[in-house]
Amino acid sequence: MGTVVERQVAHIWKRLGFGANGTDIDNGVAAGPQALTNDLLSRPLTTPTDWNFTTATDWTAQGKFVGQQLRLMGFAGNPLQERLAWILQGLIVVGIDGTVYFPDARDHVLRLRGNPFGSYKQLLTDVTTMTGMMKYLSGYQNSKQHPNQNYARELMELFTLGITHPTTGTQNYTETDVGEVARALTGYALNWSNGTIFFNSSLFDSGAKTFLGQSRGNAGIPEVMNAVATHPSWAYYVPRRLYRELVGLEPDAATLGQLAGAYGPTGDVRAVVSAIVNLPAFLSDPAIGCRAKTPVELMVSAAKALRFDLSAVDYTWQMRDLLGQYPFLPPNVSGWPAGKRWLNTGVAMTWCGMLQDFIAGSRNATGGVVQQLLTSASPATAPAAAARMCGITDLSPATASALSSYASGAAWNVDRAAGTLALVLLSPEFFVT
Amino acid sequence: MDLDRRAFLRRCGVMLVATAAGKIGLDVFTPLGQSALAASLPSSGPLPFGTPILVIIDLQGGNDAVNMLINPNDPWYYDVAHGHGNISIKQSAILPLNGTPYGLHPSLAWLASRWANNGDLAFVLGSGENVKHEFSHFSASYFRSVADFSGSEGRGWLGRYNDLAGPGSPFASVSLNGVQPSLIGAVTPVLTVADVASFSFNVDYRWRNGFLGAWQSMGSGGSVNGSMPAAAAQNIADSFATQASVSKAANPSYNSSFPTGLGRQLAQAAMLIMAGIPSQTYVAQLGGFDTHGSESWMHGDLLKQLDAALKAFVGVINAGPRANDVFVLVTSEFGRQQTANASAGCDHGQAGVNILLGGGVSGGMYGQAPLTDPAHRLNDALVPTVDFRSVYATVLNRLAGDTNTSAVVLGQPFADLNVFSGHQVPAGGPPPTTVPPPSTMASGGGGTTTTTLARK
Repeated sequence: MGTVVERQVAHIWKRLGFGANGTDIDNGVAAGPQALTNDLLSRPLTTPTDWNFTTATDWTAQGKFVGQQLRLMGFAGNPLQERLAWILQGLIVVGIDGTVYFPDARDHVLRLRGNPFGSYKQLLTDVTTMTGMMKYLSGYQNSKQHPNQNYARELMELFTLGITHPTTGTQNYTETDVGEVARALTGYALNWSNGTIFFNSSLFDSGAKTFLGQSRGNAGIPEVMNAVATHPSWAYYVPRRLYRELVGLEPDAATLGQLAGAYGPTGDVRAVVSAIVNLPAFLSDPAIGCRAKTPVELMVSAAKALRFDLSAVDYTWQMRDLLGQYPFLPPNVSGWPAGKRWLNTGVAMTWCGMLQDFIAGSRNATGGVVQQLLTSASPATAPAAAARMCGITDLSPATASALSSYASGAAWNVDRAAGTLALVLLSPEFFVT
Repeated sequence: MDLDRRAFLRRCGVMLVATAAGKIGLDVFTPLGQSALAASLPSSGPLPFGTPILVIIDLQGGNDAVNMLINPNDPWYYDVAHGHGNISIKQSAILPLNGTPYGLHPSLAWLASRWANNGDLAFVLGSGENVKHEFSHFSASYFRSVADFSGSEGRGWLGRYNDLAGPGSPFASVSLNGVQPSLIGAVTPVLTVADVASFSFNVDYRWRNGFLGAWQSMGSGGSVNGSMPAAAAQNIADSFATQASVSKAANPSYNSSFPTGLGRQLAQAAMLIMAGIPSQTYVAQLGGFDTHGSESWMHGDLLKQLDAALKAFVGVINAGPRANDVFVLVTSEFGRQQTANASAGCDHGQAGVNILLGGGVSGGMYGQAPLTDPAHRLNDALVPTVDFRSVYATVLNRLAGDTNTSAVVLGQPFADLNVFSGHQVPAGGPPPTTVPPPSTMASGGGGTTTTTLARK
């Protein structure tokens, strides 16, 4: 059994980053959970120079970009920035489809990554007129002459408000509101020759609009953003999403109220995240290990433990077709689902195959994790040691017994050490976060 | 909190999924109702011959049913200002369905021939919901998947059926493309099979000795209703149980003889059905039907995929011993609006058309065509005339072999559409349509016809 502090340190790394390795746990235990949390909250933002993404746009670029993104999730200097950018990528969704091309989706992701701690309102305002979102939700097809409600609806339903108020259950907007907001969002067109968005006043509906309970005059994008940002549900919707993502539980009404105050009309993400991670619930036992890892979380947390470079191999096919989660291909505009659905035979089977590669790479690395386990542990101590290297501080009796029998089932050598680590990465404990 | 939970689950993409929080996980799903059906499904194979098997094909995005099952005599269909106008199919290209005023999209050549030569193709007209008149993909998909409007149901309608028919069976519920939410039950796991032939655990030979046995033993003590780690352990146990059986069903020839995409999914279903895997419920999915723009080629291409996949699938099933057992239901979360938009597409609508095909199906037209004139539309959408839960009841009655189970699963009785009533279809095609001409139809067809949306 790990100590409470060990368990909390590993948990902080899993929720504010994408996982822990043995060194993370050692350092975190030495500093203490509060100091670790403060450290992760206050690290300087990384910048595009640090990210080193490919600038290519050829057919290999997408795979290279995703590989580098997965690598950064595990190893970038600001883990919380990576975590929040990934949460936002599943919230303000733009997927590659027949219209949205890789550079469009890439630019969207780069904007999300730039400062995911900042004003949510500003972020949303920015991406609203970027090519990715304009294409993904038909904004460039929304004109005075031919209104298209796609973005207006999702802006309110999925990006800012939700359908009903979280405590009163009041409907947040009407179909009339959707139509009127759509009118206010008109005027933008796409230059197909270079993929840029431009404002064309002849497409803009300059008439008076009334939405979300008020006459909004000759409203455009700023008025729409002001209207949603002063809506009674604004300060609940995204903070609740962040709470669910970071804590994994459902916030009560008092907590929601507290987070709403931190969020405010600008949508201060840093203030909300800071408030959430300092709540007792964040480190409570019910929160620890209460979420099933998504495939991306499985991959990145394993890569972090093994110091495996996910940018070295293109896993597009496995992620897209077998695991069912590929960063540029969300299932729909509401992003990827959470929950037990990721615990299924298909994911277990695919994961078993994929991590053989990860382990094989580590097996051959001088001074790598496999070598460390081989030299530092015996068959008797290997289960706990291997688990700790993978960010797991507590093993169930069944898992401990299985690891023990495997570790002692043949001569203790590099392959037995490799297999022991592989089994840890397939344990029930590793499938949760 | 129910609405909160639903909103959250919907936002999570599939709406039924248990979340990380125990409070809103599988453990709070409504208790199982009483049914005459008690665990009729074996938990290991083979499935007895004569057991009905359902294969659902979900056309995700909102299928433009008006351009799939076309009534060229409807004066509004070709109307440029209020109809499909420039995205309509010209009359000469429509594939006629003898004995009816309808025809099929030119991409559906095999289905058209099926209608002409077999009596096992049925269409349910006007299928949809008049409870919420939901225009959002996510909400509409949620309601279609759970078949419940209370906001508190977390299980899919087929999940609820399997919780009765095959409680806890790791085979009962086969999802061919991710985890399809209609299959999610309280005690019955969803088996996802993307590729039967490679359904095995691969382990590096250098550390394989003892590896799989150790992994399998980590699954002991698992529980689908326990903590998330317990659920993860149970998944390991289930994965081993299913792997052993599924991998034996491989038939590589199907992978090469079926088309790709949807066809690939149906090829896996065909392998499992032919191998006698004890499942009555398979769900496949074809996405891309959200044709807000460029409908002509997108929709045509998708329907072509559907047609080719059905042709391959039915060809294999018909040649096997379960030809009379296996039937297909084609669904979508809603139809589309009647008036084409300026992007050569059309926006979210309401009423759609279900296809039923295969064993036990009495070919013909069922349901009632919605009124198409603009005055009777709901925000330009066709008002449903048949509650989609009647379609589900019809299907459940067939699966269960009684009419009690459907009422339990759906929470209330819904009329059986008699698609499986067994009446014989005359040679040369089904009897004349049971659909009255639009002019004689009752106004409203069971729902409001005002233009005010009741979205919530």
